[in-house]
Amino acid sequence: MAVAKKSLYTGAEITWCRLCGNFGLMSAFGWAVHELAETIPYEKFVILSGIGCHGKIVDYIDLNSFYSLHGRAVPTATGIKLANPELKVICFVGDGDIYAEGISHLVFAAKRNTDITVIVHNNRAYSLTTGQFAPTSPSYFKGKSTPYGSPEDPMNPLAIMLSSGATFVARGYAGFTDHLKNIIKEAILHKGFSFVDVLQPCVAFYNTYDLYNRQTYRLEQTDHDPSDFEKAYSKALEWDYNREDVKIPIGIFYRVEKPTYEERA
Amino acid sequence: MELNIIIGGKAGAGIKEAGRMFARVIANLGYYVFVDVDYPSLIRGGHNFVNIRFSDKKIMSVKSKADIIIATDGRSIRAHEKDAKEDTVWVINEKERREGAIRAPFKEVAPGFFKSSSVLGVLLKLLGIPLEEGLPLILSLPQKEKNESIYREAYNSVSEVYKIRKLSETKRELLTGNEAIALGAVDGGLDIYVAYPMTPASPVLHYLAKNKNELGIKVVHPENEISVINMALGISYAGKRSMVGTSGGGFALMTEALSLSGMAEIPLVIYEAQRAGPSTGVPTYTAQSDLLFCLFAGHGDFPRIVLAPGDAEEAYFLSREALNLAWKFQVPVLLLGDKTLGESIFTAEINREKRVEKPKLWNGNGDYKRYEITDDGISPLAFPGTENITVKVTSYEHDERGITVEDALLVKKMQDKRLKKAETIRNYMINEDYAIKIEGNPQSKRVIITWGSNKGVVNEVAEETGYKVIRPLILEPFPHERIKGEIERAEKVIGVECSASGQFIRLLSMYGIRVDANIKKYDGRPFYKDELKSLIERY
Ligand SMILES: Cc1ncc(C[n+]2csc(CCOP(=O)(O)OP(=O)(O)O)c2C)c(N)n1
Ligand code: SF4
Ligand SMILES: [Mg+2]
Repeated sequence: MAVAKKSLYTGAEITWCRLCGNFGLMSAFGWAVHELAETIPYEKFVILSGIGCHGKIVDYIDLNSFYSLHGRAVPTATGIKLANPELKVICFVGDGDIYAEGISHLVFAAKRNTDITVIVHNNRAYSLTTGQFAPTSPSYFKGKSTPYGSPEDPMNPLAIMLSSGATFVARGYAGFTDHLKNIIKEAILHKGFSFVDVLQPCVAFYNTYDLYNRQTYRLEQTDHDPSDFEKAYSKALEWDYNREDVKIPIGIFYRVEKPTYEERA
Repeated sequence: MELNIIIGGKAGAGIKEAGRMFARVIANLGYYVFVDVDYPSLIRGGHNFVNIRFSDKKIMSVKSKADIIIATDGRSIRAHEKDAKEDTVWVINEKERREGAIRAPFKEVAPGFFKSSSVLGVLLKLLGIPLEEGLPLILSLPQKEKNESIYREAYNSVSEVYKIRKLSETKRELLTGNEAIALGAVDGGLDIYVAYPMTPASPVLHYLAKNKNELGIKVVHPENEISVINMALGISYAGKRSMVGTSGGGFALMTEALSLSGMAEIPLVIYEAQRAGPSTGVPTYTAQSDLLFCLFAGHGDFPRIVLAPGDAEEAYFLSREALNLAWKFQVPVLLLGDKTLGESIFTAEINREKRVEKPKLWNGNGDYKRYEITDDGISPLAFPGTENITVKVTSYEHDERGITVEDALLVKKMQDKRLKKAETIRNYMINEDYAIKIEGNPQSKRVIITWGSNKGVVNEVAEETGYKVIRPLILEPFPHERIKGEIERAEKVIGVECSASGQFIRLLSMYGIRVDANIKKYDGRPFYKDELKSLIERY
């Protein structure tokens, strides 16, 4: 029996820039939710966000939501899931938001294998605050706080997540909506902590459409085995978030089943 | 009949355990007892002591001068010379020397382990309490045979000095303030307790974690206090009752999310157990110097409730009340305690009773608006998972549905809604019976005004010196009109508090309440009865 499609749009004025990568991400998610709604009722979804351009997504999508603090969506989500394990809890967070301000929470959510999904709008910049460098900005990125380039190299969030114990680790690209939709669906269906780093071009501060269109390739089209941790780790290291001349794998890097925090707590 | 006893020894020697066991025995005999636990922030070495006072009358304080000093090591003799009177009975370790002291074998079960069994043996004999009264406690210890022989040897090594008789067949209940807070929360409907360890709040975490299955709750210890409070807000949003516990430093980390609780109107209870600050301060010692911080913490304007219990019974009651108030008004409620309240042992009579008030819930009709404007400023609650509605909460200023707004009119409208709620809370709270307590000699024109864990010592001194005591239990919204009414005809008003800068008196002055003198203590120790009495008598 087909479930009646609910409108997922709240009607709030959308204030993202034209062609912002957040649009692709939002439509991939909406698409995934509609497909999942065949088995998961709409009211069982709870979405959360941090603070940044990415955060606005919870104002636009008409699902239960918690517009959290900068960097703090993940512990809030953990609390929601613990209080009501029937809910599907998904965090939309920014790269500044979760790789800087809230990194400890991300690492611990992975360590706990709490059954939530974290989707990072990784535009590799602080956009809402008008363009500072972020933890995954390349070292040549000239942001407002680093006008001569950054004295730091970027971090590799996939490697961090794998070594922290995440049981589902993926990377998507907001420009490939259908591919991203499938990753998001798998992530939500995964039992345990699922993590998706989404390459999200920011047309205002770091337009990376050309780079990702040119350099990304899909893991499913290779012989990659997502159950193999070592392979997943070496795939994660293929691109260091700095170079523009290497291929960037997207897809599901790693997936394994382990008891969740909610089952063990 | 009353006695004050000090037991001193190295950290790790089981001094606290000895104090706890003795309190149990003396309460079993029908006496009132109060135990102040004085220990440094370390695991081995250093000097620990318990100060125990028991009486046939209700007491809730200790004195600085002891009738009996039990020094289990040489350092304790030197440390407590200042606490001795001329007629103090000294019991020291047999290896040490002090004129006029009784010497006893303070043996440990194994090198470096607890000496509590020997201390209990010596103390009971000294007081003429039958050996059998302590035996059940000894037999409940690990290595009970070894402990029993140490206990018996110690008992037989000294002679009776006092003859303490059984007062009644009814055994008094013993409780620390922290245990009372834990039980109060559970009886107020607590579902999940979230905390990061920090003295002196940690015993609540330990107690609830240990008993979580019997109590039917969950307990979480996350990565830091920021996670703690945000997790708790997630729990409440999903419809379960949460509470967090910490001390000043941890609460400082929580303040951003405290303000979120105010903005998003998410119920939350925070237990803040004060210790001597600033900063890391003196972790295992007491203070009342987070008062203004707790009243004003958090950016922006939002209503909150701050409650300050004075002893274990009030701790139970206010902890249970805190859970209900947080849900009634959808606000953060702070339960403000301190080391003295939390870790001291009280004889307390608590009739445990579950009391979980139903909050204002959505009636299920029409569209749901999380921030619906209502007459009293309180919007009906619904939780995620409810069919056909979405429940949207947010840290941004928002419209009734919970969608971000920046428009001037809408911003003001929501600020006004929260102001309305603050007024509703104020009208309700200041009329609560327990908003202020009048104790001591209520007819007197000489008044002591104080708060929190000073209750016991202030009331005792006031009764002996003929003062009236005014003590607010609700610190926000502040019941200043009622306080003013109570001091209207006073000839003299003296403040008593544990804050170097006199935070409580500054709070009073904000509401135009002036005192003639302020007695402050800020060395990390609670007021001792004899000490406070002589200070009061100077005025
Ligand atoms: C505690 C705190 N610090 C700083 C800010 C200001 N701030 C808002 S968004 C943001 C960074 C946004 O970067 P990112 O998370 O990458 O989100 P984006 O705008 O790129 O989507 C910052 C620093 C804040 N809201 N809260
Ligand atoms: S600034 Fe960048 S991230 Fe923000 S809306 Fe515009 S394009 Fe998107
Ligand atoms: Mg960003």
